[in-house]
Amino acid sequence: MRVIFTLAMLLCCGPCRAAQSIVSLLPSNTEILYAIGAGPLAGVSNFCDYPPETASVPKLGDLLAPNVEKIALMKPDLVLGGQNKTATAARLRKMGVNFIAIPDAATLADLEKNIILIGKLSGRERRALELAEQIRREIAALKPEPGKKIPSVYVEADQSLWTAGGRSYISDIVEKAGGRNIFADENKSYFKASWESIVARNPDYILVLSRAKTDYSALPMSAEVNAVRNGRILPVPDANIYLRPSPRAVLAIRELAGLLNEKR
Amino acid sequence: MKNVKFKYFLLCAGVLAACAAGIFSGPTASLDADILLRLRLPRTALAALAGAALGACGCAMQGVLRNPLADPYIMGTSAGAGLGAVIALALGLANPGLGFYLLACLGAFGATAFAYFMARSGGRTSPASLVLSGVMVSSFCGALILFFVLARQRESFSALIFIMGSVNEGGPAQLIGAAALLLLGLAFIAPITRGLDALSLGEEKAFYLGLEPEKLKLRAFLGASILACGAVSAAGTVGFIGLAAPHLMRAFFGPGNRRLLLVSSLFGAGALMALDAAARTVLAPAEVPAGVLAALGGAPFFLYLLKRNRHEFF
Repeated sequence: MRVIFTLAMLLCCGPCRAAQSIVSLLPSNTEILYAIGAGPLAGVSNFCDYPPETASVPKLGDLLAPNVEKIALMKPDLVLGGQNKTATAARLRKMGVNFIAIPDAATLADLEKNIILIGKLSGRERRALELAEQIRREIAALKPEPGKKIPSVYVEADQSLWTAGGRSYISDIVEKAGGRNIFADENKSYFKASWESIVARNPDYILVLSRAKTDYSALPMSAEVNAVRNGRILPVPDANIYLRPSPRAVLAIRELAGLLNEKR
Repeated sequence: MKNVKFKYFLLCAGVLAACAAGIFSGPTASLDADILLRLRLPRTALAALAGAALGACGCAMQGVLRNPLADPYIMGTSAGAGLGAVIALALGLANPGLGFYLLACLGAFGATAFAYFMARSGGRTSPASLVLSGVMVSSFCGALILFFVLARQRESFSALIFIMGSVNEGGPAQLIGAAALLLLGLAFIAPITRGLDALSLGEEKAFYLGLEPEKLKLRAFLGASILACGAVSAAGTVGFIGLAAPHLMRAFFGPGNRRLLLVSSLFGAGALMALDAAARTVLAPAEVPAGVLAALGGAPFFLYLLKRNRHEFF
């Protein structure tokens, strides 16, 4: 009887062990995992909405407030989170969960490193190396020709003048697309800018990544700002490709490079 | 009398200094006439209007509630106005606009009146229970604001700024709106300052002096709500100024409400202009919410004064 039971157990668990069960608590890591073929995942965060396959994957809260009980019960082989590792990581690890923090990507170089790291962790290193190489190649191909005037860009991360400084990922995206973030020299990630400093830096373009429809022309002295005067305010169809350090960065750079060229 | 004139002089000098700080300091070192006149002047003016509204609102509330702890922030008036404002924005009503102002006023009045009637029992309102019910209403409105914001997810950063209080970057419409609300609120409060003085003797005595305390209160609450709405629509929910302005001014100019209303408004205007100047410069080009600076710098200063001139307050 015991022999039969043991055999049955082995039969049940055998196939499960072969495929790793992975939980991702950040949309960017989820996109990387699917891109290197580590899907389908065992669980994702509430914010994970790409690729479309994630729609049918169990949602397990988000990085700041994950559903610890549910994750512990699933007994995944691997849980990937972001650098915000303090409380979340401690709570998950206490439940015996193998939680690994993936560093925040502040540049496209960081993104490549993260892809390779996630590849190693999920046992798909070769595909990850290929993907990183492919992204590097595609971005290099989009490099603007030298000698061209570099337009300055104000990034609207959120309404009320929330913007991105030089330590943000989006700043690097703008640069690779042939523009220059007006706050690239600020050693900050995201912050609330004063309108006066935006007027003084006079951006040629405003890249709108929030859904708020800020009426820039209603702000004082907006006629003095190139982007407002020339109507170069650029809303984008999907802000996530700009904000998430994911393989879709190439799409963002291509789209933005197109927008910056088209209206010049 | 000469002494009072000197105090007025000092107050006006302070307000003018704050005004100069607001206009001549900014995130860029520029002293370009365009920047001074078209960017900093309107913003400083808006800060002055919002600050004056806060000072006047605090004065009216402390007067009518005969409570030195009353202030638009603590009594839930600001949070109520903030809740009204967030609902108005969710409904698509733009900030300088009649619908927006109406909802913000309604929120302010609703929250204040609710806190007041909750604290009132058997025809009396104890200072402690008033502050307690105010804090409850305030945190309830604050929680509702956060709930609305988080439910919409994307605009959370800017909403946080709004809750902490920061002077808007607005066009002329914003200035006109704030000025109109300030004047309307003062028009409610100024004629009843004598009544508020009488009320300070107690409701019963005020009644025998020929006043109608309930009408007086209704009017003061309405005025305070309009003032809070003016302040919130121009600068979010800034705390501290509404509490400190009447207090400090009472210590210098005495308890007469007529004069107190004027000097509290002046002090509030100066305080918010100075705070906004600092908010734009300390971390330039990033901006710090003025409300954060108000609490950071103002609260310790206020405590120091409280400790030093304990007997002079209220």
